[in-house]
Amino acid sequence: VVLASEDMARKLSDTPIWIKGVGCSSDTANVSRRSDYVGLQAAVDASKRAYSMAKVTPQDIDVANVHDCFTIAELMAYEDLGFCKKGEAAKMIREGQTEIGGKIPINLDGGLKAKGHPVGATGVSMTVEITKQLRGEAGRRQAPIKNGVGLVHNIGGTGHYAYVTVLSRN
Amino acid sequence: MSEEPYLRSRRTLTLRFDIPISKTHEFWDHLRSGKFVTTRCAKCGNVSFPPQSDCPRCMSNQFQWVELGRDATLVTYTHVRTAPASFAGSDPYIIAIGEFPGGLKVLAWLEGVKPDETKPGMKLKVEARTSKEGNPYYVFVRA
Repeated sequence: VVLASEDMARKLSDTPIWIKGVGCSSDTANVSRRSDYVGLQAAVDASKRAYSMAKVTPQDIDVANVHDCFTIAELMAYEDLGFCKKGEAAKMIREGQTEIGGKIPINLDGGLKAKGHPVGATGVSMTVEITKQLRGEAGRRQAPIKNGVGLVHNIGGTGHYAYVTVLSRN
Repeated sequence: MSEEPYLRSRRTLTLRFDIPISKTHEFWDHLRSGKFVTTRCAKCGNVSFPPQSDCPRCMSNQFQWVELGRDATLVTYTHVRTAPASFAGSDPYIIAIGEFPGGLKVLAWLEGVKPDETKPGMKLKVEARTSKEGNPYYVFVRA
């Protein structure tokens, strides 16, 4: 990943991917102080900020990489990011809505649990994947790109740090 | 399959925690006598657990001690079968979050209950115990 100013990005690449929105938020590290155990408020807040800055809604996202450090974490991410209603993440998977051709293809590179989770490098690798997806360079795992908008969701600590980035080819 | 050659070194790491309790030692003093108390902010009334001398809501450093009683309700729990290294010597254990009247939530081990008997909503009691180092600590048990 090369992070550059707008001018430099245009010089360096014919197909730059733009950061349209970023959101970060934190929450208490003490799980017993949280209002909810099946969701991360930090991720909810971070995504709202990122959507607002990018002027998009969850329905505009073509493809996403979410922080599936554990199985439940991926299900919570769908709900925290607004890809489905609370409690409907498992249904989304069962219906194939997170696969190529579904409502929103997610973690087409296998995600953290299948691809690997080198803490620190993980967020970068998610950004690389969404960049490839938005450029149409993902090969056999390419998602259909309609709006040119992708999302990266990264979580730290006991779920008390959350970072959401909206990327776009436009 | 034959094992790869290794240079193997095995050492024991002792964990030592020195937790300053100068402002909240009364919690431990009360616990030693079986009483479960915590802090309430004197300015905004926010009740914290673990006890906090500085209010996480309004940042005031003025606080009072309030008694929590012993009765709580199980909110959620995890049965830990693969423990972190420093608890590897323990039998599988249950970590629970219990809610006290008024809504304050406390995290502690739940003892004397089997995982398949553990149900959110069940009534718990908090109990004071003494560790082998002589420190007081607290656990949940079935009410």
